[in-house]
Amino acid sequence: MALEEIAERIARDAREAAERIVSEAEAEKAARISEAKERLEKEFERDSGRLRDRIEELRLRQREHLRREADRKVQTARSTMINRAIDRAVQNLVKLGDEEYLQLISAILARCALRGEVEVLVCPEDEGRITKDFLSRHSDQDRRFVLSEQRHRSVGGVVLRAGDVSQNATFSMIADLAHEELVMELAAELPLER
Amino acid sequence: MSVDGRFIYPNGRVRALELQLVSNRMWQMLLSADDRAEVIRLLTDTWYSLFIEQHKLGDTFRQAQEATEEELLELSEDPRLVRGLLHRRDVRNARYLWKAALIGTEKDVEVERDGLLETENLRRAVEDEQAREELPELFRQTLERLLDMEAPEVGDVEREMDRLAARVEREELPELGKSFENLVSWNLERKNFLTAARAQLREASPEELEDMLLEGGLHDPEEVASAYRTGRLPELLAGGHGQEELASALSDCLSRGSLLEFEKQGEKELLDKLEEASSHVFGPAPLAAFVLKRELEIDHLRILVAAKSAGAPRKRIIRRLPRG
Repeated sequence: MALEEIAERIARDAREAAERIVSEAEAEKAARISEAKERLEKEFERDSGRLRDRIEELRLRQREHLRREADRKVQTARSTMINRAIDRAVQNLVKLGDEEYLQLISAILARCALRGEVEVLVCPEDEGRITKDFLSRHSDQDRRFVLSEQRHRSVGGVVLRAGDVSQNATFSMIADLAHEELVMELAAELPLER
Repeated sequence: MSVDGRFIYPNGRVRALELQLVSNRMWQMLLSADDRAEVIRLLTDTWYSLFIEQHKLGDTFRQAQEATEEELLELSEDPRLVRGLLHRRDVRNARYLWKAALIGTEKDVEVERDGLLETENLRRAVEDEQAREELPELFRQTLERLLDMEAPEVGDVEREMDRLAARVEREELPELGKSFENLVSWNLERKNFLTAARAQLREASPEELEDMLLEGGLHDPEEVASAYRTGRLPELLAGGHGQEELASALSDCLSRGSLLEFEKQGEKELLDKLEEASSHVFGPAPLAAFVLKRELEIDHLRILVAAKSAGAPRKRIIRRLPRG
């Protein structure tokens, strides 16, 4: 074989090898690109799924938060209305004429569970109404009501004290207790209607 | 003594179901909750979570009651239990429907699942004489009395329906066994004395009270009314039926002007009696006792939720609830 032929064959083999390498490299490149594309698409799908879930979760959380906030506002408004009604009722009691007002105080004194010398604290507005004479008329052999020098800061009614024991019988306290009791009574009595 | 083995399996299952009742520890947490929202959050850790949607109570308690009854009816097909439970549901449905029809509150009243009577029949019976004739006698008589009233008020309807509920209980529940017979009378007695005590605190007339008392307690309504007239309710309650502790609570409560502790003591004793009824494992009593325990639990949860909504402190609530 002539040298030229040998050189040509080497050149052809080299070309063929180069073409094969290039073609394999192209195929590998295409496979890698496709693999990377597929991976990226999956990642994109996963990330956008997560994002969608997070957005949905945030939306639900926000809605729940708003709903709870609205519930809280309704509850607050309801308690404010009830408290206002109770305050108004207490104010109306305080504005009663002396005779009716003292009848209420008499009923409170009659229910006093304390014995012995019982100190009676009144509010500043009642100084002229609940007097030493009035209290002594309600005293008996078991219990002696004494007008205290101290004053309570609530509205209407009295605070009764014997030694370390005291009974808060102010109108606002009585109204609060009556309200709580009524709520518990009604909750049990009302049928399970929607 | 013959032993009825049909109830061994259902009663065994009921023992397991009792674990779903709110535990003492949970009651402690519920009583200490800061507010209504926290109570609801805590309830989502209990069996009630099955019925709580989006942290709202809504229809939770009614669904819970229905689910309890359905579960027990599936467990045992004993006719005494089925009648006892389903007729009580009929009374509740009749109450919703008839009150709405006669007082005119709502047009579309939601009712529970049918009991022994079809709710459609209960609904039609207000207008349709033939449907009325098809009702069981107790129901028919009640409805006729209601229809005879001129412009009845809510209180009138509730009173008649309370009487019907008491009659149905007296007729159906004693069939579940001796323990239930005693329990029904005792419970009616407790209700009558509670009514009388409330009447006394509100200075109602003896005639008004007589109209509210129910037949079937340990004392006749006349005896209770007579004790009311003479101011001797605690003495009558204490007399001869082993109710000294309840009578003493009544006496204290009347002098204090608050019935919370009388109600608490009465329900504590009721829970004890239900526990006792649960021990009769060869009959349907434990199944019915479980339903009543659940009802009482629901009542207590409703009181708790209402009290928390009103801002009542723990120490006030535990004066009323025999829990925790």
